[in-house]
Amino acid sequence: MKKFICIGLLIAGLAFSFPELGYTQKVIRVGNAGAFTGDAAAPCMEIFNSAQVAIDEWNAKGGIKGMKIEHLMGDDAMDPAQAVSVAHKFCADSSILGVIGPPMSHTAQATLKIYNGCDLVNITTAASKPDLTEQGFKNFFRVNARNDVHGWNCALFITRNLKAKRIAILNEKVAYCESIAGETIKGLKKLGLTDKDIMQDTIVGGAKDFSPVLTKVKAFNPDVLFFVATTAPDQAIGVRQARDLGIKAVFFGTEGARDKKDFIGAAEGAAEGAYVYHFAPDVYAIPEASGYTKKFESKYGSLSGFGPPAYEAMNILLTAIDRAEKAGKLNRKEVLKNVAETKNFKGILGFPVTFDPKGDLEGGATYFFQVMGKEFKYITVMTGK
Amino acid sequence: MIHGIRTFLYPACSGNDMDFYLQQLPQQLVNGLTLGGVYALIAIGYTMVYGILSMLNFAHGEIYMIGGFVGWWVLHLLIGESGPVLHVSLVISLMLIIAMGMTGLLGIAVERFAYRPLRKAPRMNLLLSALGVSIFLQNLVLHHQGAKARFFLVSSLIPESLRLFQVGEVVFSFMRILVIVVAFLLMTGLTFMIKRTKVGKAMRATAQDIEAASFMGIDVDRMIVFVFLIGSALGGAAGTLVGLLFTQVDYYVGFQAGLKGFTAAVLGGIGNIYGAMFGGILLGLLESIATTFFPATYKDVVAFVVLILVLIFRPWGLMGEKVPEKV
Amino acid sequence: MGPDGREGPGKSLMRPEIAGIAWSQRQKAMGFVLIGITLVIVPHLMPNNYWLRIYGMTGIYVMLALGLNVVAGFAGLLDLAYVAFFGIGGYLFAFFSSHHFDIHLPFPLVLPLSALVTMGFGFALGAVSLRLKGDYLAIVTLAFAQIFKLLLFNLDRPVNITGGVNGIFNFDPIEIFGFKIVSPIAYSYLIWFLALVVIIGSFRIKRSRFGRGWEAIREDELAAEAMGVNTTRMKLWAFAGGAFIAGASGTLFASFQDSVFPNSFDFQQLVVIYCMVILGGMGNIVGVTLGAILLSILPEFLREYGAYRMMFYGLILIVLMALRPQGLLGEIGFLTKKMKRPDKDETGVLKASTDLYYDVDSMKAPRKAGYSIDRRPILELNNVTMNFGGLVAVDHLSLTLREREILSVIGPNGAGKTTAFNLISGIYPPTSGKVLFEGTNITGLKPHQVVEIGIARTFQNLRLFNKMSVLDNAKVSQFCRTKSGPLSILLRLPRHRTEERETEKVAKEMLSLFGARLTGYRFDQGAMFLSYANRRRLEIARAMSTNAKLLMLDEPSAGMNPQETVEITEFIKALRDIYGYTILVIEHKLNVVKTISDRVIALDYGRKIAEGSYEEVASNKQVIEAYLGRKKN
Repeated sequence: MKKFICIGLLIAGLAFSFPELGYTQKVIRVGNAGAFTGDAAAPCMEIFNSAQVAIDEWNAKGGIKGMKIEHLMGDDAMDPAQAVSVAHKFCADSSILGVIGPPMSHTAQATLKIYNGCDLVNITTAASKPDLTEQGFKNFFRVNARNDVHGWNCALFITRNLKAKRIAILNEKVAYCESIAGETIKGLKKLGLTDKDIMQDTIVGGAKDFSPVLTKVKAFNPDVLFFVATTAPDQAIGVRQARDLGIKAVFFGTEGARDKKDFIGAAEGAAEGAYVYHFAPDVYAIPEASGYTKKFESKYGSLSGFGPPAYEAMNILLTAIDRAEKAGKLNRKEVLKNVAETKNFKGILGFPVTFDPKGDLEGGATYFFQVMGKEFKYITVMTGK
Repeated sequence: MIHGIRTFLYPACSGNDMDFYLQQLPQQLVNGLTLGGVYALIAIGYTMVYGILSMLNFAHGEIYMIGGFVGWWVLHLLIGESGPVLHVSLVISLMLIIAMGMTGLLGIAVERFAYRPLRKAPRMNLLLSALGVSIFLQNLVLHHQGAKARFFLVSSLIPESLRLFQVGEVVFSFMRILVIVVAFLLMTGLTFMIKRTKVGKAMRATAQDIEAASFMGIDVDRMIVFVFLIGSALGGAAGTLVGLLFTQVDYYVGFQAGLKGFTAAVLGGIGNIYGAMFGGILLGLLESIATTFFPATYKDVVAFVVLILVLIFRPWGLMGEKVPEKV
Repeated sequence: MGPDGREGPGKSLMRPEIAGIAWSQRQKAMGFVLIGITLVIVPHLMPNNYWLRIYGMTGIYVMLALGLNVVAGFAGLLDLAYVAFFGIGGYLFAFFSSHHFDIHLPFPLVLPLSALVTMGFGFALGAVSLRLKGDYLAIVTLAFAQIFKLLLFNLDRPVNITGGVNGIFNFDPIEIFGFKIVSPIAYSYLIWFLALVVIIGSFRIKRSRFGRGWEAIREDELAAEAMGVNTTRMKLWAFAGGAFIAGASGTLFASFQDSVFPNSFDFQQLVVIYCMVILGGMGNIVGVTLGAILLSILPEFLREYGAYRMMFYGLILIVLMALRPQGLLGEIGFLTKKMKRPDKDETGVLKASTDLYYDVDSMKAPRKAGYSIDRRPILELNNVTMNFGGLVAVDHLSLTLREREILSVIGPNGAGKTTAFNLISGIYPPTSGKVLFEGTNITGLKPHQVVEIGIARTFQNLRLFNKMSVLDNAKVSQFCRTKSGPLSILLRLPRHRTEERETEKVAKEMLSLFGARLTGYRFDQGAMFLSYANRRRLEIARAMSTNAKLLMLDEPSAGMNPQETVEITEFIKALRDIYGYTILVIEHKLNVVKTISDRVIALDYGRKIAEGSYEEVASNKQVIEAYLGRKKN
C-alpha cells in the first residue's frame, strides 16, 4: 500500500513540476530555428549572429515601444523530428511573434504545417526547395530565391557563359543539393543538352575522399564539373582532389563555397579560377551593407554568404512587428499580415525585397563569382532570361 | 522498368561502353590502395585488441579521429607565415610522433578507466561501455573543437614540382605515395616487433592464452596496456596520415572510419594482424572498384554487405582459422 | 507450507506476483485504478501543447524501451538494428495511410498490420544472425541498421519508395472506432494506453516459459539448449518480439509527428533507447519504464546543455557498466525479494547445513516399481567417433545402457568422457557412428530435441542460470514439455495457466527431493547465492525437471566433502531404485563408483579399454596403467 502512495506521489510530483510558460507581452521574442549543432553549425551560427546584429541595433534604439527584443535559439541539429519539437515549443510561447528559419529545406518542410497552425510567421534565409511555397501555407516567406530559379540560372550560365557541352554533376543526397542538381539538369536539357552530355553521380557529405567518384568524372571528360555540396570544406576537398587527379574541367560550386577561408584558403590554390553561384550579390560591394558587415566582423569574425539575408530577414520581421504595435494590434496574425505586405523593402541585399503572393522573393536572381587570388570576383548576374 | 533499373545502376551511362569503365580502373586501383593502406592501419588497432582481450574496441575510430586533430595541431604550430618552420620531413615526423604518442596515451587511459573494471564482466557490458566511450569521445571533440573541419595546409609542405606525378593515365600525388610508404613502414615495424622481439613474443603468448601467459610470469596487465598503446598509436598515425592526404579532419570521421576499419579487420580474420593488413587493402580496392560501376553513395553499402556476408558465412575471416568452442 | 517446503497449488494462484512482490487481488485492483486515474488526469495537467507532446513522446519511448528490453534485456541479444524496426513501422504507416502510394487503410488495421510486417523483418534479421554471438551479433546488426538508413536515403530513385532525404509527410488523420485522434490530448490517451498494454504484456511474458527461456539463453545459451530450450526458435522470437513492439511504436510515432524522415531512425536514437534500458536495469520492466520516462523528460529540463546531451549518454554507458551494470533499479530490494539472507529462513533463525540433511524416506515424489534391471537397452552407441580436425577425442566407442541401469564411465583427464556426453546430448554430431535411444536414431539431433526425447545431463563445471532463482532454474527445464505460444501467454488462456501450474508442480517436486535445502525460502533465491554443494544439487534437480528417463551426470560429487558425497551417492542410488531413472555417470571418486555402479566402462584416449563390473575394471591392467602409468621394468 505504501508503495502505491509513493509511486502516485512521484508521478504527481513530476506532473506538477513542469514550468509554467507564462503569457506576457512585457517582452517581445523572436525565434530562430536552425541547426546550431552538428555539421551545419557554422553557417547557422552565422545566420543567428547576423540576426542578432539586427536585434542589437533595434534594442539600442529603444526596442519596440520600449520593450526589449529577445532572440531565442531553437536547435534542430538538422533533424526534422527535432525541428518539429522546436516548432511546437515556439508555438507554445505566446510572446514569440515570428521565427527566422529553418534554413534547410527538409527541416522547413517538416515544420510548415505546425507554424501555420499557430499563425507564426516564418522567414527563411536559405531554404530553397521550390515546393515549400507551393503547398498553400500563407505564413512562409523567403528572402532567397528558389532552386528552380537558381537551377535555371545556373544552366544558363553553364551553357552561355562557360560554353560547356559536357557537364558532370555531383551532388550530396540532401534536399537542397538534390533540388539544385535536379533543377539544373532540367534547365540544361531545356537548353538542348541530352542525357549523353550530362553525368550525374552522388557524393557523401563529410566524406573526406572523393577520388573514386572523381575518377569516374575524369573518364567522362566533361567541360564543367558542377559540385553540388552544402559546405565549403567539402567543396574545397572536391576541387583539390579534382585537380590532383588531373581533371581539367571548370569547377563550379554552390553558395556554401562562397567562403574565403573555408573554400579558397582550404584549397590552397587549387580553387583558382573556380566559379560559385550565390543568391546574394557581394555584400562588400553594397554600400548600404557596410554598417552591418563592420559590426558583424568585429564581433563574430569572417562572413560567408549566409549572414546578410538573415540580417535582412530579421529587419523585415522587426519592422512588421513594429508596424503591428503602432496599429495597436501586437499579435501574430497582424505581424503575419505585415510581413506579407512587404514591398520594396530597402535593405542590404542590393535589391528591394518584395514578397510575392506565394511568399517567394519577387524577381529572384542568381549571382556568379569567380575565384581570383584570395578573393571572389563578381562576374555576372542571371535573372532567368 | 528495365530502363529504370539500368539508369539506376549506371546513371552516367545510358550509352557508355566498356571503355568508360576500363579506362578508370588503373586510377581506381591507386585510389583503392591508398584508402586500403589507411583502413589497414585502423584495422590493426582493432585486431590487436581483439586478439588479446576478445573484445571489440568501439572507441578505436574516435582515437583515429583524435589522432587526426593532434596531427593538425602540430602542423598548425609548425607552419608560419611563409611556410614550415622546420624541414618537411621533420614536420611530418613530428606530426606522426606526437599524434601517435598522444593517442597511445589516450588508448591506455580508456583501457584503464573504462575496460579494466569490466575484465570479468559479461560481454555485453564491455561492448556497451566501449560504445559509451566512443560516443563520449566523439561529442567531447565536437564540443571542444566545434563542428567545422580543420584544414591541413599541406601545399606549403611540398614544392609544386613534386606534388603530382603522372604515369600514363594514372596520377599519383606525393601525399599518396607518402601515405602508402609510411603505412608500409609502420606495418613492417610492427611485424618485426612481434616476430623478433621479446615483447612481441610475450604479446603473442598473451593473445593465445591469457591465463597460461600469466602463469609463465608474463605481466598480463602490462601486456594489455602495451597492446592498447600500440594499437591506438597506429590508429592515431592513420588519422594524421589521412589528414595529410585528404587535407581535412572533423569530429565525425571516426565513426565511419571505425566501421570500415572494423570491417577490414573482420574480413581479414580478426585477431590476425596480417589479416588486418590484407583485409584493409582488399576493402579499399573493393570500394573503389564498386564506385566505378555503381552510384557512389552505395560505396558504403559495399563495406557493410561485405561485413555481413563474412560474419555469416566465414566469421573467422579470409586468413583466420576456425577454432571450435570447447564445451 | 508443508514440512518438506512445498506449497499447495491453491495458494500460489491467489497471490499473483508482480515485480517479485506478492500482491493480493485487492491491491492489484487498486493499483490499476490509481494508474488509470493518473493516465486520465495527467494530459490535462500539461500547461501547453509543447509539454503535451513531450508527454506523448515519453509514452512512445516507454514502448520502444520495453521492446528493446525483450530482445536485449530478457534474451541478452545485443541488437543494434533495433532502431531500424522503429523506422520500418514508421514508414509502413506512411505507405499505408497517406497519399504517397495512395493507400488509405484505417488505423485499427494499419497498427497491427505494420507491427506484424515489422515482426517479419525481425524474424528475418534473427534468422540471419543466429549463429553469431555477442560482439559479432552487435556488429552485424549495426551494419544492417546502417544499410537500412542508406536505403531510406537512396530509394527515391528510380522509383520513389521512401521519399529519400525529404521523407514522407502529410498522413491521413487516424480514427479508432469512430473517435478521431487528432489533438495531442487524444494522442496522449492512445499512446499511453498502448504503453500500458505493452507493460502488462511484458510482465506476462516475463513470467512465462518464454520469459524463462529467454533469460536462460541470456545466462548461458548452451545450458539453456541442453535443458530443452529451443534456443534457435527463442532467439528468433526475441528479435521478432522486439521488432513487433518497435514496429507498433514506429507507426504511432509517424502518426503523431505526421511525418517520417530517415534521420529520426539513426544511431543516435538507438543509443538513447539503449541508455534508457540500461539505466533502468536490463530485464527489469519497472526499471526500464522509469528509465524511459527519465531520459525523455530530462533533456527538456536541460535544454541549454543540449550540446552535452550525447556526451552525457556516453558517460552513462561507461559509468553504469563499470559501477552498476544492473541499472538503477536492477535487484534493489524495494522491488524484488531476492535480497534475503541465504542462511536465515523466515523466522530469522540461523540454520546449519547439518540441520538440512534429508533422507530417502522423506522423498515424497511418486515412486516407480522396485529396482530391477530391464533387459531392454535404452541407450546404444555404435562405433561413435569424434574427430576434432585431427584430434580424435572419441575413438569408435560402443556401449549399451539398459533401462534402470547405472553405468559409470571412468578414465583419466582428456579420455573423452565429457566429449562422449556431448555427443549423446547433441552438442555436436559425431564424425561417424550412431547414437540410439530406445531404438530411435538420435545422432545429430540438436540438444533440445535430445532432451525432448528423454535424455538430460549435468555439466562438469556447473552451468546454472546464475541470476535466475532456484525455482526458475528448475522451471526452465519444463520448456520442452510445454507448448504455449505468445498469444496464449499474453491473453492468459487456460492452456497457459494449466501449463504454468504443471511446470511449478514438477519443478517444486524435483527440488523437494533435496529436502529443505532447495525449497521454501530458497525457491526465490538467486542461484548464484547458493553454496557450492547446493549448486551441484540444483544442477541435478534441474536436469531431472525435464521429465527425463535417462540422466547423464558429469562428476556429480566433484568438490563435495565426504559427508555430502555420501549423501549424493545415496541419492543417486535412490534415483534408480525408487524413481526408475537410468543413469550414466562420469566419476573420479572410485568409492562412489563402487557403491552405485551396476557396470563400469573405462576410457583412455577416446577408446574403451575395459568394461564390466567394478571389480573387473578396477583390477584391469590397462586401466591401472592409464591412471598410474606403467611399472618400471
